[in-house]
Amino acid sequence: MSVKQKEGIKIYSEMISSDAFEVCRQVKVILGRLERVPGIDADQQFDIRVILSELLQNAIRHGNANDSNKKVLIDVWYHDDSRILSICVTDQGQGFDVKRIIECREKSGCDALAMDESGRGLYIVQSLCDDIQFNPVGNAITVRMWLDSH
Amino acid sequence: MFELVVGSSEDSGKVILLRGEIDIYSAPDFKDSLFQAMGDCSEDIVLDCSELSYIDSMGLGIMVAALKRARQNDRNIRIRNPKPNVKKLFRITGLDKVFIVEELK
Repeated sequence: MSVKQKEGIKIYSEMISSDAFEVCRQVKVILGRLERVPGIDADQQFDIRVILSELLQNAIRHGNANDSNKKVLIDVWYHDDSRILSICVTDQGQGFDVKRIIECREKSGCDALAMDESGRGLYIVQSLCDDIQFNPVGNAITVRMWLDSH
Repeated sequence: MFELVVGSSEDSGKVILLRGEIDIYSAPDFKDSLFQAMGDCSEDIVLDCSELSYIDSMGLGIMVAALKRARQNDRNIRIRNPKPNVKKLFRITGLDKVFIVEELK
């Protein structure tokens, strides 16, 4: 966790199991807690839900390789001075080259039919957020949304 | 909560209404029920998305798989009346150019 994230308001920080039902349940818990953040409209709620779901699907399927013994750490922070929402999802996998997946999508251009779900999911995340960062190992993704710019 | 309702056939194909949310949990049910509803692909499919409030890459991937199956049988799939947020995901992923997306009143 970076110092900058600690300066914000912690909305959610939990380790969850690699399970589809649990993912859906926890995403709704996070969305419920975000109701206390002023000014998040229905469209932003939709985008945040998609981002969380895509990051968690990615962590479970590709990071943890669907290993039910492995967990996923979700951190959600809100910085009220800058109105930035930060979401960090960390899996317990070996890490993989997330950047390469996104770059492959960008190079393949309009071949939407050939894209796999992982490439499509990360591309959606990249399109809906304002900033996306990967840790060097490749098992943690942090996205940031400027709430006033959406 | 997700529900798939197979409607009647019309000139543009068999109408299948998607209602609720297609997320990581409901996606397997969506896949099974969609492929069952498509049957032997003897006609085009219209996916009525007017009551679909949420979908993500997993659901879109299933729609793509269904489209590939339809095209193997010289059939097509139309996406009818998606809500703005759902339509936005089709646009982001370029699938609005792959599917026929139609707005009917």
